[in-house]
Amino acid sequence: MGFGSNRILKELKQFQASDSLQLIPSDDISVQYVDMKVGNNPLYPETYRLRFIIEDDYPFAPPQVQFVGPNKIPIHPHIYSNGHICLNILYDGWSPANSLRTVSLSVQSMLSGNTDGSRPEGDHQYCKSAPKNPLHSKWVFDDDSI
Amino acid sequence: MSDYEFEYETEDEYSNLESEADSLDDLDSEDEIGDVLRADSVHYSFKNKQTAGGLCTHRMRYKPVEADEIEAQLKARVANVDTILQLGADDCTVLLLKYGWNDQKLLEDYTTQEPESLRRECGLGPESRVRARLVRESEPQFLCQICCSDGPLYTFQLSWCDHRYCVDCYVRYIRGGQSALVKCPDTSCALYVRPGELEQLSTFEEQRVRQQEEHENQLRKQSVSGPLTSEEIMAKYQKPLVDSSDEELDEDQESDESAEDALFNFHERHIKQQRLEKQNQRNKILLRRYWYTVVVQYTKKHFKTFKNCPAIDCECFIEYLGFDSDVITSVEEYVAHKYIPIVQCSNGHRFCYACLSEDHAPATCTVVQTWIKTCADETETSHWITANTKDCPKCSSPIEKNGGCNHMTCGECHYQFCWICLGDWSRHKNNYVCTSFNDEESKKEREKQETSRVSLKRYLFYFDLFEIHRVSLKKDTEFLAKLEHRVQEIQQRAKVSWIEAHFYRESIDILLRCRITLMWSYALMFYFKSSAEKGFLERTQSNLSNHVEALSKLFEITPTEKVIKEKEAFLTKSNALKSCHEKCIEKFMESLVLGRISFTSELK
Repeated sequence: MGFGSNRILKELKQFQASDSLQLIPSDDISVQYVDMKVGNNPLYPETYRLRFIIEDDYPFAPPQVQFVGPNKIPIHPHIYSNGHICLNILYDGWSPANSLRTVSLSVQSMLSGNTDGSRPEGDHQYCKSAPKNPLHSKWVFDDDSI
Repeated sequence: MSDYEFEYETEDEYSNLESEADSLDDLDSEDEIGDVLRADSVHYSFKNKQTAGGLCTHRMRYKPVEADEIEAQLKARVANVDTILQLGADDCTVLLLKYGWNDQKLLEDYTTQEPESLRRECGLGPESRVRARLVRESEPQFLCQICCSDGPLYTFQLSWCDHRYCVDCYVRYIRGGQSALVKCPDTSCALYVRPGELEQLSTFEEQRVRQQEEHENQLRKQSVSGPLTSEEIMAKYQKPLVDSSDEELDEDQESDESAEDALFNFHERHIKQQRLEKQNQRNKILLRRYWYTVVVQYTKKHFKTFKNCPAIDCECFIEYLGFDSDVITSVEEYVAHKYIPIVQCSNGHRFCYACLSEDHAPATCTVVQTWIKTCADETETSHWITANTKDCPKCSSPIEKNGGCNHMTCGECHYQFCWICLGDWSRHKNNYVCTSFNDEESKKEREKQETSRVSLKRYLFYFDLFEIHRVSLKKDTEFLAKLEHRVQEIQQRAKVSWIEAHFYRESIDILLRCRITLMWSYALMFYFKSSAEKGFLERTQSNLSNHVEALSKLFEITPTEKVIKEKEAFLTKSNALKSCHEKCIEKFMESLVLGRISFTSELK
């Protein structure tokens, strides 16, 4: 990691842990995990784990972000059962001013405002053919309401 | 297609227009595009308004343009909108980009909607002004939110927000943007970077890069004046040696290069170099990159009016200017009438405006597509198939007999037949010796088979001719590319201006062009039903072929002095070829457009 390592170190240092967002210590600076709780939404009673894979051109290009096991993958119309998240700031809408924390907060608010307990349309189909790296999927952002 | 006189003299243009002005319709169209005609030279997809046979060519009007010309056009449109809105070029640029250059819609919205909210929606700040000194040095306690470097740093920000980031990050951020419209990096900020603001960042960055280069140069000089390390001494002593053999080295390199990409002639290499230089310049200077992105986006959006030259490394555009016709109004219509809109870009690449493949006259786009598909499907396998298989008499799928008895069962349709007479097996009464070879029905089967083989043979005949010319074209291109330096040599030997030696280059061009025409004419012939008209076209074709060979022979003369002496011969032969080519194209055009020729069923 070249340019971004300074930034990522600062980010890790400044990641203010709270009850709902917890940074999990990691040996590899380029792979980070954040555990997330969603308060007051009965759809999401558990703790979910987000994984960030930080590539060389971070923060100018987005990190790979997805939900991972062993925890459950939250059920949401924009989250596929393989953990991939359809959220524009993770792809086209990425800005270098985003950080692990702001991304986590965005995902968290996406969950807490949701009332629809279903997977996205074509979830099965997508998971069968999806690339490992969610950045390689072609995303179409058609619905901003959820 | 002929373009020998693409650059029409302005005077000619006038006289043309005057003669056209007889009819009212022509007057109208002249009014519409009159300004364009006078300002620049318009090019045509075909030389003449009418063929020798009196067919109207409805030629397409176009203009080869380069990115900076389109950029100037777009800037003029910005200025135009600005005279009405009075917001300054910066805001107008962003507004037009947001509106996809639909100025009518923009002006309408601007007068009917609340300007404040419209500005906000389009990512503009409260005022149009661009503030001065957007790049400045920060206080020491500043921390760039992107790279997390501490101050003091040079920072940049937009005029109407206070999201400051260090210059390095901002530059890199903007470079990473795919579109021309780039937002402030802050996620909650909706402002777009405007050209006036970008200019400040761009100038600063440019200066800094230059200073850095100078600094490095100085460092190098200093190190030279200091005591030499043993490595430097070695390098110094080895240098004169290298110098003396420099010439040989250069030559070696050159021959290496030509071996590497033999297909690239001088001209193409020059174009590649030009593109790389331009790209370099653009990437260095942010503001230029910005406008280039704007142009590319614009031409992609207006793909009907602008086409990018399909040649590798060529960045030229063709601007469509309508048709020289009262009847035809679109490229689709033009192509549907079996015309072929061949255009030529500023770098001399000729291509079809409709299907964006290389010049394929006299074959129509449909023929070209079908031909290419047929070739891809059939060439490799067809030889083997003819030699080794028979077709099932019922479903015609090819069958290879790789052993066993003569009782065949087709794997596709399960029809049972005899391999020898191709007749129905039931008539063999399970007798494994074929006795019904002269049976009426099996005769019919064999005849049917024969016709399908004939069609394949016909295809192979034309395919071979096509291939022969394709290969000759390739070889000629390679051969003549190597001869190109001779053009320069001729110039120097004869001590003449380049105009005088131009005949060589021109002869090469016309020769290659005619080879392309010949090549495609064979593909086209394959789809023609045999008729008197076809025979007539075949004679035209072989006439062209003879002229091509005649000129081609002249290029076998290699000593430069002789070439200069033969200038007259070059000129006569290539002029004869030119007019023959022109006639040939016209004849094909007449036959196609007037429907004198009918196509075989192979062309769907």
